[in-house]
Amino acid sequence: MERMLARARRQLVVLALALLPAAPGHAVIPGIQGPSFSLRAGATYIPTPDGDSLRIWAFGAAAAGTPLQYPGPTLIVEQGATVTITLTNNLPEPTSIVFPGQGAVTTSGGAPGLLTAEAAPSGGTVTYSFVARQPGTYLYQSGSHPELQIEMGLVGALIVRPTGFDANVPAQRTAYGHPDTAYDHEYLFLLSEMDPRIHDLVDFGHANLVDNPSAFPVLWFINGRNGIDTLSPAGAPWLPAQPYDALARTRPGEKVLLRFVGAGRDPHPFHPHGNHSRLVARDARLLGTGPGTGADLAVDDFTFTILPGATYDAIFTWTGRKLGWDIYGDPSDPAFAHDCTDAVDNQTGAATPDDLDDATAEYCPDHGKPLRVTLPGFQDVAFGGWWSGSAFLGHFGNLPPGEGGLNLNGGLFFMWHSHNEKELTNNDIFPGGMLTFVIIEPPGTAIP
Amino acid sequence: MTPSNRTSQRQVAPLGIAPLGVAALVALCALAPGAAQGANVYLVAKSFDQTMPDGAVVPMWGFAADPDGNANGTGDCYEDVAGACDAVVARAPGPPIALSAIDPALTVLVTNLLDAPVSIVISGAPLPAASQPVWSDGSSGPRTDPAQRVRSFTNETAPNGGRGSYAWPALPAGTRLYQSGTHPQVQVQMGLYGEVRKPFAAGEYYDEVPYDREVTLFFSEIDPALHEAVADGSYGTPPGPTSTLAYEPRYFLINGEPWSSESECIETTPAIRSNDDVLVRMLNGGLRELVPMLLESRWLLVAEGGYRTADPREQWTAHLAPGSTRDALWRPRRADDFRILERRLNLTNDSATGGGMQACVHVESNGAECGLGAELLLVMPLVAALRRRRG
Amino acid sequence: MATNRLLLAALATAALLGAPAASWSAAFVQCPGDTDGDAVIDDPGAPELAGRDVQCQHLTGGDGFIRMGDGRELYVFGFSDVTGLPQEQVLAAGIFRTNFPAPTIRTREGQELYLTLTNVGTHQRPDLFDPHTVHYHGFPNASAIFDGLPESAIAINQGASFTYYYQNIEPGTYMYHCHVEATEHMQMGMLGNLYVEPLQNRTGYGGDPDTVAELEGGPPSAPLGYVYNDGDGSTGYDVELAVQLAGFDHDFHDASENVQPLPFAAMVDTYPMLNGRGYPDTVTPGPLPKLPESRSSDPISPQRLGATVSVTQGQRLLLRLSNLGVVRHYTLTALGLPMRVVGHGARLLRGAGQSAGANVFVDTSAVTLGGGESADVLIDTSGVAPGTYFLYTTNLNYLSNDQQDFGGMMTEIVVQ
Repeated sequence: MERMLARARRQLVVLALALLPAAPGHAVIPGIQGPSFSLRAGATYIPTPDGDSLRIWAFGAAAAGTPLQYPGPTLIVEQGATVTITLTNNLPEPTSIVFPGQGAVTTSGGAPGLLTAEAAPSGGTVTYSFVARQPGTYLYQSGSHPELQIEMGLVGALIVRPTGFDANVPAQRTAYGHPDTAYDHEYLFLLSEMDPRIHDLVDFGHANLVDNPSAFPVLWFINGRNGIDTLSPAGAPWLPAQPYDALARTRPGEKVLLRFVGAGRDPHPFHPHGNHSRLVARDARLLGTGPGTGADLAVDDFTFTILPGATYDAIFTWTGRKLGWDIYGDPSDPAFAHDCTDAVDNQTGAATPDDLDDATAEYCPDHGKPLRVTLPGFQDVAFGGWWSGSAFLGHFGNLPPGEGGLNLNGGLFFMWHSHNEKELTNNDIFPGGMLTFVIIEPPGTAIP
Repeated sequence: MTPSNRTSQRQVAPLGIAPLGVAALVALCALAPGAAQGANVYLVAKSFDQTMPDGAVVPMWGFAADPDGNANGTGDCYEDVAGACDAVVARAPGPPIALSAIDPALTVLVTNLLDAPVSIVISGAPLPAASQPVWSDGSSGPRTDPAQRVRSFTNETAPNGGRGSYAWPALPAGTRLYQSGTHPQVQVQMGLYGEVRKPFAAGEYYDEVPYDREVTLFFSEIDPALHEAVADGSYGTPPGPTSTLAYEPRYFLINGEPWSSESECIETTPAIRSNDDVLVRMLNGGLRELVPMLLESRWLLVAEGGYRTADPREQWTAHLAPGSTRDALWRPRRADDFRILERRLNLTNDSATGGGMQACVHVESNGAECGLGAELLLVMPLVAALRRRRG
Repeated sequence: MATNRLLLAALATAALLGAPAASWSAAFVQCPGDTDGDAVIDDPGAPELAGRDVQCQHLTGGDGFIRMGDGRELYVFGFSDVTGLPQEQVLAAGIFRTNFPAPTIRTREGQELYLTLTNVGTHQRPDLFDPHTVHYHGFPNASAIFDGLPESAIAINQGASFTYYYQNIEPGTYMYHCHVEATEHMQMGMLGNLYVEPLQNRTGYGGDPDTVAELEGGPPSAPLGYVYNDGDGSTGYDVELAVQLAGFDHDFHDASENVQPLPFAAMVDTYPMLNGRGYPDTVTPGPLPKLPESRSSDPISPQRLGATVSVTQGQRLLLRLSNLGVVRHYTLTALGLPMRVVGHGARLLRGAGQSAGANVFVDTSAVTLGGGESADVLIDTSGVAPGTYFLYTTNLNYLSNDQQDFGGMMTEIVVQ
């Protein structure tokens, strides 16, 4: 039965490979478009995987019927725009927003606070305005009582699109207006953590008893969700105040832009399995020697410490290059038949071979090389739920009943996670916390 | 008003720039050969009490400047420990040691009025000349037994009035920490640290890093329970703590003071004006990684641990490792009070909000304000020059 | 735990399918040119090895005990190197043989690594069914099958073997660890150093045969080795020390030993370590004393790897630093010695992906590493006064072996 199912799946994939165009679709970070935003701050609850219901303070779009959300809505604006944000405060204490990395922010309304103008509790408003001079990945956060309000959830991402950005034109789909930052898919990884003791005190009306120096987070989040809620669909109805997922998907050879935002209080060493990524920007500045040089100081790495309050952009690509075996299987087996044709450079389109198949990005020098080892038998192994049953991309293998099943396309799943591995827990429960996955989907798979 | 950031910047005169007198040279040759062309700095290690904004009084260890700054008088700490030094007040961080570009050598002469031995080391610099570690059994020199544990990274100055000297024949330019090299897990957190700064040349902090103004942000932390245990002698013997593992700071300071409702913006002398290139020295005397964040502006990180970086990056944050330093060049493009806060959210005094590691830097107008639009175009020509040079 | 359920399901399935219960009695090594299953190549002339550079290594995954700097013994999970041991002896010999840190895997660019992992079970915890894996942390363009992530592939059960295959194409400082129930198995000690030496060791640079590394038969005037293919010798070193940062929480280990709920949330580092030991054990050059046979069957010591080094003035010392602790970042300093970071994350610090850009080496007084980060630090001792130097964490409260002061994350570098 399972064998038949696997065979049927495999045929389906082969069929899909034959029918679909080379690169259908590109992942785009969801958010709300500027340059004018109406936000509100208020209190709500989020469910956490340890069974808790956690009091949080959160931003949300002010439009009627729009829920508060953690993190706040991702604000997306164009370079050069004058950005205006009106904040209505439904919290029990003054609140405000600061915009790290932006220049002078002008305010209207509200009352003077330590860092910026504040909106009064119970319905006060304030308006912030600044010019988004430079493209890149930014954050916004509470500027009032920050050690409590940031802990409580008043953080969000801000993305400034470069001049000339066009998501539908590959050459103009860049993070910083330079080809070194061109990408096929972009994903946000906003990292944070919470100490539920603080949230419970606030919930019970004892915010005055919060002891910040002894804060001890035991919940860790990506885009406001704990693992493995990170994999639930965006907008999942069972996570009404946590609309953003954190599952990355890509196809071989494509460029994935990772926008990292440190939104909590601790540094997190984020480790994307699968391949190195190239760090091209820090705090919304391209890592280059000067204007026009591109990211010529960018370096590849396998773990990135994301500092609180800072942002990072990295580009990840996977091809399986130089594995030493054909990750698409034995081409002489009809079930795994595939060609490797390399006439052009996949990146530039020039008529110079780059060792990669022009359509699938298979690494041609390894084409037809066998898997070098025999894999253990069923009885010798434990199976992962995201395991396709096959070592080969785009294929399914036999699995015992009840095993696998979470891998829909025969993709390769790689975990992307905090490598301070204590943070892979949800308040004493493993696994969870700051973890998600990338799926290397077979060529031709539709994304999103 | 307790000493604010404003006053701390103004009142703490840097130490030790006076060239050696002949008499001092004679006196010092035996102590520090090779220091002939350098600066001598006289420090006193003492205990003191510091009052926090919430009224808590915390026992501290710190350094003070020897009042006459030499060894040829008769009436103060270095020459006469017996009593003339009683009025000298230590603080943490200790007095900044500010060297001029033409001081290749530094000698720190210490009078130790604590009841524990101390020593002086400088992060990112060689060990003091003729250093020998001192071990748990009191011996010094190369290790003789695998069970020995190091007590001091360099030669000790004896407690209760001992004197010692620590010499660096060729200290490079840059921003560094001086701190105790003795039992550092106890003595550094007690407050035995301070700033060493030295420009590359007049108006040039590192090679090809010119600057107009300067400001120091010295970050530190206090765990009052551990301070009490050390001060009352209960540290080291059960039921007192026997290691510092459970360190949990509750006060978070910049330039020796936590932020409070009384605090004011730092005003340097001479004043920072818009479009000045401001050298921002950040030092971390504490035991944890910190992330200073600058609001509504950006700075160019030019050095780490006293070493100029090959890859200056324009950021609004900085990673500030414990026991290390970062230097930033900052060109404020407008007159304003610029806010800096520590982004790991060490922003309370004990548990009270509105405190901790916050600062504000006052910038006056230079009369030629740039418009709103220009403020993010930092010092790109300088970046390009640095990077070209490195390549 | 979830994996127990998985195992039972697998066993049930095997029975259903009538699969032979093959490998319960012996490890199963796969190594080309190895004729007797001990993971040693006996026949270098074997046709399957023609034109290839192959290395084999055989590790066990199991449990055992180690001793902390204050004398406390901790129950651990770990790896042990059984390369050279006949495979039929491995399951028995592997009992309580675990090492901490895990055996170092040292390979070289262009080399194919056949790494067999045999799960010998947890003898202190017969109630556990835990599988194990090897995650080669940082391996570029990985496949899922050899990534060692149990959630997205397969993990090897007790009494069985899995041979991982890696073609090493990028030199640098990596690390490896078990990824099964990662927080638990890593806290329990399944952490190892892994590095890949560059092709430049064999070729030299600039066409000058005198620059071939001494490691590969070059002249004494050449560096011992290079960290990367730098093309200019800028990553050459004369002395090398790989240092793994990690911390253990003894409450967690004691809970595991005593079959108690595991305290994930309360986890802190009570024993900060370099290469699996707290100061002053770090300055013991080689293995620490053996433990009683009932605690460790390792014929040498469960803690074999020293963390100290001696250099002659003028030599360049390479520190291959990696943090495999599961709790926090650490900052390390080498007080009095200049630290130059030339590599990070197994890559030369050179712009535009090491190819055409400028070096972005970092001169500094301190290096901060989070879990899963590595850095290659060169210390040039030219002009450094001879003496004893200290490499230690500036998170100074971690200079502790739990409640014992003057311990923890510190070691010594002697310059002669």
